Amino acid sequence: MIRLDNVSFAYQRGQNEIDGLTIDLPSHRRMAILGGPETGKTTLVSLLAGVIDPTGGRIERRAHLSFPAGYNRAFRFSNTVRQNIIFAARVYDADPAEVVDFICGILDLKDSIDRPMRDLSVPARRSVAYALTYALPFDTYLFDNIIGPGDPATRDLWRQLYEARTATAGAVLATRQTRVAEAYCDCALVLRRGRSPVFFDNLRDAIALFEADVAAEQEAVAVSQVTEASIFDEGRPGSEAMAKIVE
Amino acid sequence: MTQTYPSGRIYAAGPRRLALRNQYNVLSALLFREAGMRHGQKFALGYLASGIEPLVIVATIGLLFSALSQDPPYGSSLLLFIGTGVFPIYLFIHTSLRLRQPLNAVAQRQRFPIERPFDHILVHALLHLVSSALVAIVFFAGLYMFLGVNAAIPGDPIAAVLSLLVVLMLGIATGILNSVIARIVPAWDLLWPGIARASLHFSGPYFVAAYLTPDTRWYFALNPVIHGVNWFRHAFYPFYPNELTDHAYIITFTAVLLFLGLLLEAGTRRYLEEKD
Repeated sequence: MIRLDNVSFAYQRGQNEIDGLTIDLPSHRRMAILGGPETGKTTLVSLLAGVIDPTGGRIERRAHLSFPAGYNRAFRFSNTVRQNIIFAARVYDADPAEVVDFICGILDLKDSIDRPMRDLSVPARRSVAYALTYALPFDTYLFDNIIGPGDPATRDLWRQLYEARTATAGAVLATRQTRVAEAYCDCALVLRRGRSPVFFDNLRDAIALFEADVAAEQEAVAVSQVTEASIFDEGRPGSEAMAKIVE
Repeated sequence: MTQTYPSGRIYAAGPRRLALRNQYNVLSALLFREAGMRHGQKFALGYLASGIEPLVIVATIGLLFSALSQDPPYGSSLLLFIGTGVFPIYLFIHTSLRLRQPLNAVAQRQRFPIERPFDHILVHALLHLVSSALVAIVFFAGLYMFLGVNAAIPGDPIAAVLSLLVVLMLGIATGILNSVIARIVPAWDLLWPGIARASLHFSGPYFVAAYLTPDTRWYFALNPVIHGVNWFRHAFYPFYPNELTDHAYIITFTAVLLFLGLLLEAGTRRYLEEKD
């Protein structure tokens, strides 16, 4: 279980991105975090992972939570891929040899495993970071939007890894696509703009609420666009870019 | 696919044991990695490299004193007298310099969330202690074996170790304070190395603080490092003039500095995160 007690977070002294959130989240289930853009999905995942610390309140983690999947900031570019993997395995209490074997088994690294990290292409580094996430043993895996880097050829691989890992462990997947949530999760937390988040045991109810929220928001946007268009005569796009000279 | 998934080794241990185990994992992994790195770049035995500087300083001062054909200020061996001064001073200087890195804003973002800044501080301090001790042991053993300086083996090893630990703590406290000051006033990063290295000459590497004239030596006594040097020298020279040395002063100074550093770090953490 992950217990959030009055957690709030603000970027740069701005408005609270997450405001006084008190909720118990399951750590051994596959939970989606559903929310529209800028409702704090990524922020919540980062907070759970401990990448950022809450501005107020506290998070009690009664499970071993992962870093956000694909986290690659901790890699040292001058060290070899193998050294980086071994370091992560040691830090997260896994057998380094097992983890290296696992990653070599699922990725086609050939001899680049003993080359410095900086020699790898950016997609290769991302793949290593995701493979590392699945290789390490956690109670709960945290995902922000994607479960693997989106190369069509390897999509099945990441799906298999996800299914295998979440058979015994929990997952938290932040997304705004209901199809993703349906495919990979079975309960959900819905983040709502200006209102407190709601947890649903049943994914179907969560999606219903989320879609209602989205529809309401779109309607509000449409209304505001109509009013804006009536205020400015030139409704044509791009007309505001041409300065009008008052004579 | 028939992959075997790596499994955790300790999950039934309970939260408290888990926390201890995590701490141990992070510290040991960091120790192995940072020993081969310097400023985040690969550098085999990088930590031993910082041992070269005190050796150069000892050699320069030794050469200068022989060229001026000066007698050693105390005892019979010039190199031993300078070495007993320079090594503790450099332990302080290097620790206070290198500890800026763990609390650096960029470095803090290049970590796994499980690594906390104070893990890095602990590991860097430990590596400095080990590397300084290694170089110092080689130096003093070399004096004893090749130059026949019998006094190079400390008569009071416990005092030698204790004084070095206190100097190390002073370095850690200064380092933490520095790292916070440097993030508030970035120019401090350029000023402090100069100040630290200049303070070498006021910490008594080549003179006996107690032999200074009474009206000036109390100013020298304000420098906490000089007390550490005297303490360290006392381990080698049983009759070293010690009327200036105040062990309570350096320990209190260290404790106050450490408290201030931690207070400032905790107090400005939020402000600094937003600043950069």
